[in-house]
Amino acid sequence: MDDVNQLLNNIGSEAVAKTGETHVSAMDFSWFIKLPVIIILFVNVFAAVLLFLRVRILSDTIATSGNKRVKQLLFTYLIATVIGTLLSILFLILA
Amino acid sequence: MVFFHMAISTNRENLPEKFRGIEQSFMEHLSVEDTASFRSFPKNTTFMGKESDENVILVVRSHWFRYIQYIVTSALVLILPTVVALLIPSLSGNATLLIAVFLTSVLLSMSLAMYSFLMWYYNVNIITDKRVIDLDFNSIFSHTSSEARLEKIEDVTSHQSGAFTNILDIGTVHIQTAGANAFIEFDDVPKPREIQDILSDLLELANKKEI
Repeated sequence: MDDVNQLLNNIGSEAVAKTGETHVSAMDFSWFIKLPVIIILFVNVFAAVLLFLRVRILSDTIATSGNKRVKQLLFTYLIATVIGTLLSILFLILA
Repeated sequence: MVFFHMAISTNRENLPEKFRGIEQSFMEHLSVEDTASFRSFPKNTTFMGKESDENVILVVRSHWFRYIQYIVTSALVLILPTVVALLIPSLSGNATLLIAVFLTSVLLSMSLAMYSFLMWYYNVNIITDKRVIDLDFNSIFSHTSSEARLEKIEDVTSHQSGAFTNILDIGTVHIQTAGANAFIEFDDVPKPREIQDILSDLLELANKKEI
């Protein structure tokens, strides 16, 4: 009976130790990379939106012949940034 | 000199009417370059508060060299994932994470390139036959717009220092005015001496009430 108990205890402690070890090391490494990348992505989207709003004000202040093209370029950039950020976050979740 | 004079003479019909008969030297400077950084008598250019009889004579933007640090940083950010993968070898085994990091670096690089382009495009200086306007796009959080009427301008000086400014012929034009905002500066603009001459001649014409 004692042997059986000892055997079961050993199996349990080994399993917990292995799971815990693997879990902790994986979490540490992946979040060391993922967290700064996620912060950078959110700051980038925020900056892109601010840039878009700033240019809306500036294009009202001074209008040149290329203003329309610049606005189109900026809109394309904003859309590309949002889509790229979503894709990047998706890859980070999957990684 | 003769060539420029002929070029101006043949294109006089494209100029605003009040400038067709002017023989000052600044008219020659206006035809030396026609780029997005130095554009004379541009069409479809307007600004807030422009008067109906006001003509835009020159639109000047800073030289691209002013934004070289953004261009270099943008290129460096693109190669950052490769450096990270080399520094952390275990990252090379995680392809999904590497793709995410690479995508992030592309987005950052694109943002820097767009930011530097917009800084160049909206750091614009305008000279009209009534005033001088200086629009400075300082950052995504701020911009400054200053203007001075020609009759308020007291002195115009140009300043060039450094090896690259000599090579690229760029410099700063300081415009001293009589108002509370005493200085207007055209920073790192191409052909600063020509701009100085254009402004000096315009001031002379404005004082004589010829424009």
